[in-house]
Amino acid sequence: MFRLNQLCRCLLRGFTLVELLVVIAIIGVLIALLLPAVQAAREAARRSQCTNHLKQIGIAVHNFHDSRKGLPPATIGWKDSGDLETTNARKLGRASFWVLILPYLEQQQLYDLICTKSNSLAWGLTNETLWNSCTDEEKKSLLSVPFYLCPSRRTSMTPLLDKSATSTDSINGIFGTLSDYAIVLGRSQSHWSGWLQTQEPTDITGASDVSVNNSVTLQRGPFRCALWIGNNPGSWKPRDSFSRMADGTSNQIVVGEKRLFQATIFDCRANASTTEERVYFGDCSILPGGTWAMYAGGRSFNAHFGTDINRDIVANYLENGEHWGSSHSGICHFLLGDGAVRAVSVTVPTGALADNPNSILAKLGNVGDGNSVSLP
Amino acid sequence: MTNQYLTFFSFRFFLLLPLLFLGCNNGHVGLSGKVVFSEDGSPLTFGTVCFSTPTFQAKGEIKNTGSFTMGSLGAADGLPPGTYTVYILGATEDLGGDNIYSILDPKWNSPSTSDFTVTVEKTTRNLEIKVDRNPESREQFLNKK
Repeated sequence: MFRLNQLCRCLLRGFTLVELLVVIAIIGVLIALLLPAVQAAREAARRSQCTNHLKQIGIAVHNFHDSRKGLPPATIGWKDSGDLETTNARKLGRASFWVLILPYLEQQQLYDLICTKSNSLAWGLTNETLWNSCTDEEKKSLLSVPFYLCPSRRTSMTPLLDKSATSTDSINGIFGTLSDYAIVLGRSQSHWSGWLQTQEPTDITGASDVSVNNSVTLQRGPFRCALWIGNNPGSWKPRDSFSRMADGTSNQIVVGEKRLFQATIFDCRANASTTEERVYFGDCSILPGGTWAMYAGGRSFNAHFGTDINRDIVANYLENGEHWGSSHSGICHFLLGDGAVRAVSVTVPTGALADNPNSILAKLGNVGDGNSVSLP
Repeated sequence: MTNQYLTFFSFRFFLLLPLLFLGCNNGHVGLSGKVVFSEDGSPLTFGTVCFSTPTFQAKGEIKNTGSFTMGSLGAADGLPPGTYTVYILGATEDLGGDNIYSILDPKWNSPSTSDFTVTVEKTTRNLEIKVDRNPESREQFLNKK
C-alpha cells in the first residue's frame, strides 16, 4: 500500500523542465550519431546496385558467348572494306563492345535503332553522326541504359538532353550514351599512342596487322576486335572465346569502373584528336570515334587509379594515366571473367609490368602472362 | 533531486564528450610537399607523385604551383608511415605526331628505375622533392625517332 501510494505521488508530480530537456538532449545526441550511419547505408545500397550492374554486364558477356560462340569483340573494327590502312578517312569506328552486348541487357530496341542507322553495324558510326540523325525520342532511348551507370556517381544520363549546344560543335555539342564502366584493354608495354585505337581487324585468313602499334597480336587484354568474314565488315564473328583468358577466368579482369573528372561528367564529344579532347571524350561509352576510338569505352590495364575527382583536367592523357576510379571511397569495382565482381583497393600497385613489376592491375588484365594474382 | 541530475549531466557528461572523437585518426601521416627542379628551383606544375612499396601505392596530384598532398584511399587522406620509392607519373608533353616527351629524367617515370626513396615518419609533414630535367632536349628526342 505504501509503495503504491508513493508511486502515485510520483506520477502526479510530473517531470520538471530540466528532466524533459535532458531526455530531448539524449534523443538529439542519438539521432546525431545515427544520421551518418543512415547516409553510409544509403551509399552502401548504391554501391551494391553498382556492383549489380557490373554483374549484369558479366552475365551479358556470358550470354553473348553462349549464343555467338565467342567473347563480344572490343569493336567490330575500323577498316573500310578492301583496302588495308590507306587513309585516315577510311578508319571509321564501328560498333563497340557496349553496342554488341545491348541485346543481352534487355536493350534490343536500342540495338535495333543503332542497326538501322548503320546498315546493320556495317557502316562506320560516330557519336556525332548517330546523335545528329536521331529524333528527340530516339535520343532519349540512347540515354536510357541503366546498367551502364553507377548510382554512386549518377542515376540518369538525361542531363545531357538539357545541355544547350549546337550539334555541329565538336567541343560542346556532341553527345551519346554514357557509361561509368570501361572494358579492359592494353598491351604488354604501355605505349605513347594508339593504345585504344579501334584495332585493326584481320580477315578470316589472318591477313592484315599492318599497323604495328595497334595490331591485334599486340593486344593483351581480354577483348579484341572482331574477325571479319571475307573482308566485309557487315559480316563478322567473335575472334576469341573464353580460352583467351589463359590465366583463368577468375584471374582476369574484363570490365571496371572508369575515372571521370568532375568537369567532364556528362560530356561526350565527337572528336578525340587532341589530348584535351580525349579527356572530354571520356564519358562516352557505346561508340568509338576517330583514331583514339576505343578510349570512349575502354581503359588500359596499364593505367592507374585516380582519386581526386576535382582535379584540374590534365591534357597529357596517355595509356598509363590515371584512368580507373570510382565514386566509392577507396575502392574500384572490377568484373572478372567468371562473372564475379570484386572491389579492388585504389592503393594496390598499378602501372605497366615493365615499369612496375608489382602491378596488380596489369597482372590481372594481361591474358596469359602466367601470373595468377589473388586480390588482396 | 533536480540538483543531482544537473550536476551529473552537465559535468560528467561533458567529460565524456571527447570520447566521441576518438578513432577518427587512422594512423596516416598527412604529408604534403612541393616538386621543384634541382637546377633552378622552379616548380614542376603537373603530374602525380607516387609513393610506392611492393604492395601499396599512395598518390599526390601536383597542382600548378608544384605543391602536392598525399592521399591513399582518398585524394588527401595521407599515407601510413614507412619507406617508399618515389616516382612521378604524367610529367610528359605531347609534341604532336604521337611523340610524348618526358620532361623529367626518364628514371623518374617508374618505381623500378627511380633511386629516390623516402622514409615517412609520424612527424613528417613536409617534403621537397628535387627532380632533374630530361638530359635529352625535345629536338634530340624528335630527331632520334
